[in-house]
Amino acid sequence: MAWLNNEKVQALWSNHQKANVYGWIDGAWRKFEDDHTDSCTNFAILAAHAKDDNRDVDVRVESGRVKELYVW
Amino acid sequence: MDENTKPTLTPADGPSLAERIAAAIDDREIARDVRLTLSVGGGVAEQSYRYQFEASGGRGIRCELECELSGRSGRSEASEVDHEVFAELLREVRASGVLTTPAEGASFLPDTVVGVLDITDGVNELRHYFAADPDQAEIQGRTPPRSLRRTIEAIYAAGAKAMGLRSVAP
Repeated sequence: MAWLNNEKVQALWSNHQKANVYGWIDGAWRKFEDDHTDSCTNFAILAAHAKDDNRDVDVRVESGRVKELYVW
Repeated sequence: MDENTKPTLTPADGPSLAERIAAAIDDREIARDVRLTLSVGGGVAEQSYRYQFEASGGRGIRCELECELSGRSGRSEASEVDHEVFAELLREVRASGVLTTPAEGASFLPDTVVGVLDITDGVNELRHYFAADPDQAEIQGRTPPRSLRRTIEAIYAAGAKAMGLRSVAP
């Protein structure tokens, strides 16, 4: 389990494919959990707010996917 | 295996905000995407203060002031873009160091006159929150750093000039 703490969401990307959203966090593209379309959408919403307001985020990454996201 | 497409560009591919601001000073086309926005508001109802300022290379300067305490008010909307005026603001932004000043949190006490400074080049964005009333800032231990104060004062001066007022600061 790897936590990236006090980071920023510097960029967001998505395309037409299902559950395909990435956030640029801590110098790399991090894919939001894509097992469930709901979780992917929820992460995208939180990340968009974090980026827009320049908020700090804590992100848990496992198996190449963002599994948990705090926006402060 | 993930068969979906991945992003091909990265934020590091493009110029930084500081680089774009520098280029915009001499290049009107680049300046069209650059925008400085200052929104200041708050205070108790009878002493409320509101100042809105927006300057961009594409739309010129627009600003508005309503101060219940001092009775000052004003409004200005540029009918054309004066690149040299905008470029001078950008020079101040660069010289102030605000582009590399760490942003602080946005927690303030009720009735604080709060300011929000946004600087963007259309891709990169920078935001600073600050306590705009000097007395309130001092009481809360939130006096803005010198770089931010310098930028804010330059924007106040530009707004005052545009509205024909002596001063617009809270």
